[in-house]
Amino acid sequence: MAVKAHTSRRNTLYGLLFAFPWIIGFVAFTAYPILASLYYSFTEYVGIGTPKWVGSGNFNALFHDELFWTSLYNTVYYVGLAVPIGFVVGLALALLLNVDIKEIGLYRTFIYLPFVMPAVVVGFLWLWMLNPYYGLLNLFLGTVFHIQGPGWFSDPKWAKPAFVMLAQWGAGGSAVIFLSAIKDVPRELLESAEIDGAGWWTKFSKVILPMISPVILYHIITALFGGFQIFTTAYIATNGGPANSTLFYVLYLYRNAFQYSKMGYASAMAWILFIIVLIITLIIFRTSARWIFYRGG
Amino acid sequence: MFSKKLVIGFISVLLVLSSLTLAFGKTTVTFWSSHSGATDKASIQRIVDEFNKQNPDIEVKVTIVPGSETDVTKLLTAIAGGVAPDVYLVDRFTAAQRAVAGVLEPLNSLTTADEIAKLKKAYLPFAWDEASWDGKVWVLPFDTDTRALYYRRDHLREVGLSGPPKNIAELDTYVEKLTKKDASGRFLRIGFIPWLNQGWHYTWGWAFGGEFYDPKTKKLTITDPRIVQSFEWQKSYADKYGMATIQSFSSAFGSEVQDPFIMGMISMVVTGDWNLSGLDRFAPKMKWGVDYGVTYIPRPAELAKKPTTWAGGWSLGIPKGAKHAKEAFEFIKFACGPVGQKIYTVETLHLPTIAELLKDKDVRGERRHAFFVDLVKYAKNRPPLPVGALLWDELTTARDAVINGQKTPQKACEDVEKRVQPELDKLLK
Repeated sequence: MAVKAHTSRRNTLYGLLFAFPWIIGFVAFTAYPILASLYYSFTEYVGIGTPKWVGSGNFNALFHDELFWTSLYNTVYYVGLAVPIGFVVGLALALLLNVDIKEIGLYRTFIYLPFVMPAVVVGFLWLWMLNPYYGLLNLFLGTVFHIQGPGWFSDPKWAKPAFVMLAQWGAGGSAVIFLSAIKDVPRELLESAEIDGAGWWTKFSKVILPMISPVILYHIITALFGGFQIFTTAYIATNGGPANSTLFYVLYLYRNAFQYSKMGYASAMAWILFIIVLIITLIIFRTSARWIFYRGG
Repeated sequence: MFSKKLVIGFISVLLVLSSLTLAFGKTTVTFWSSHSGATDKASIQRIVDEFNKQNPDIEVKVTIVPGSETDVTKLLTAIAGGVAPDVYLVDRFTAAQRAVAGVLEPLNSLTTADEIAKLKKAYLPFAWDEASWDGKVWVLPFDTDTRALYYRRDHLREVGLSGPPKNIAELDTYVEKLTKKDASGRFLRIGFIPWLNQGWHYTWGWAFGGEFYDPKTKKLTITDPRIVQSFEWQKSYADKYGMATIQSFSSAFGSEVQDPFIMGMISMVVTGDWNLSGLDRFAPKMKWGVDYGVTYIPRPAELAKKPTTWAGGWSLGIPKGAKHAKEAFEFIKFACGPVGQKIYTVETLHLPTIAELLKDKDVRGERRHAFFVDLVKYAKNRPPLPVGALLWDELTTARDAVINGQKTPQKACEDVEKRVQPELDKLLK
């Protein structure tokens, strides 16, 4: 008994020892900055020197800041479209990639490839694709449907939808995750469904969807995180314009912190975003019990 | 075996020797520059080499730290980490903001009031104005630039116009004549787009005779009727030629060889002195005086007698916590002085901020360049405020809202004041 306790204590110690480099990194580069930003959110702080305590001043100012609401609206608009559309596109791609043909490996690679492109490159690429004059998309709309495509990034009405479309560029990433989940659906379930006379839609909606629902939950939550933090592509393609129609939350936060030297204000924004995302995630988790099916659960 | 005494003696000799070499060694001054373009970089290095040659006890080392004008993340991190550079290249219109943020060392603390007064006399007033805040000077002005109207002489000839437009009304009729559309209503060429390139809010606000800030009352004056009028005039182009059509046409504009002025997609554009070298490089066949010309930015007829332009440019400052501030000050006096500025402006075709250099033959260069040099004396500067970057962004937002028809010019200007004035008041307290 005593020996056992001794070994387990030693194992804990070794475990901690091995994790130590990570713990240092986590405390110094993640935990400390997070806590520090909480403190800064109650101060006026330019980035160096001594922060000045202003209590809830930053938060009060934020609620009266027209641009804060604009950026929040833009972001919610974007997330509201990009997440569901991204889910449908990703799942559709996964189903397409789930067929048995010889060269399927090649297709999977092609579909996944765009996902590994850096966001900066994607931003520049789409600037060209969505160019109203000689961009591929408007060329397609013009020649096939005889529609004069909009100005996309230069038109305040179309700039946000353009980013939703741009987000689908990375759908290959979620498609691969969905695909592996679909592959994991037990064959015998599908077979017995078939024997019972189920068509493809019934098999999909009654067997595949419930079986992959934990992965869907994972996808939706990570997509929400990513969506609320949209920055790089917007910074590259429009930098918030035209007329602030693509001034997304984190873009405005970045401007406050690094261009207007308002670190305290920016920290307050970061915490509000954190709370918003936290609440949405909690709601999803709470309601997920109703639509998630855990195998053996 | 060595005796203990011998070892101690040996070590102390070593210590003395090393401290001697330290005393007689060079002081290294680190200089962060964000100018990464080949010409600029080489020219700045030439200034540094010249300084190092003249000051054997100081060694200035340039580090290229890329970043945009308004982003000082790396500098802030370096200052907070205690490894600040000794010299920093600052976009002059952000100097006041950096001063208030405590990023810069006031130059007054490094020298006498006499020397500051002497320095002040050497520089153009607008540049010195931008370098100062709260009764102190924070950076020394380096180069500057000016803006004017470039026009395509061949386009003007084609529609039977002999010279460039002399005022806003003339400009408007020129644009009507110069603009061409195809059968489907798409532009083939548009005479002029007010907000393109350097057609900023400041450009037109000043051209219409407006003022953006009153230093006496310390209030922003964006609702100055003449600034509102300048927005109204810009909106008239959006209305007349169709904002959506202009937008989709202008999104086809490229840069370098695909520059719309070079491609002939526009006939006139407001841009700066630097565009001369761009034209030489990317359109060597276009000749000044034959294919294109440069004139003053058009103003309303009643103001047209007095030329208008505005100037920006860079400056050198000493960050808080610099370890060799004294030596750094020697360097920035040299680099921003007549010798340094002459090297830089001649090699890069920028304009000097040292008054006497405006008369220098080498700095003036050819006639078309001398035009821009002469413009410097009419130059306005953006109000040197600690909220300069915010004001700029807000004015741009207002301009966009107006030309897209989301706000009336009056309301857009009011909103700028409403957003920026409280921030300014906070810093003025």
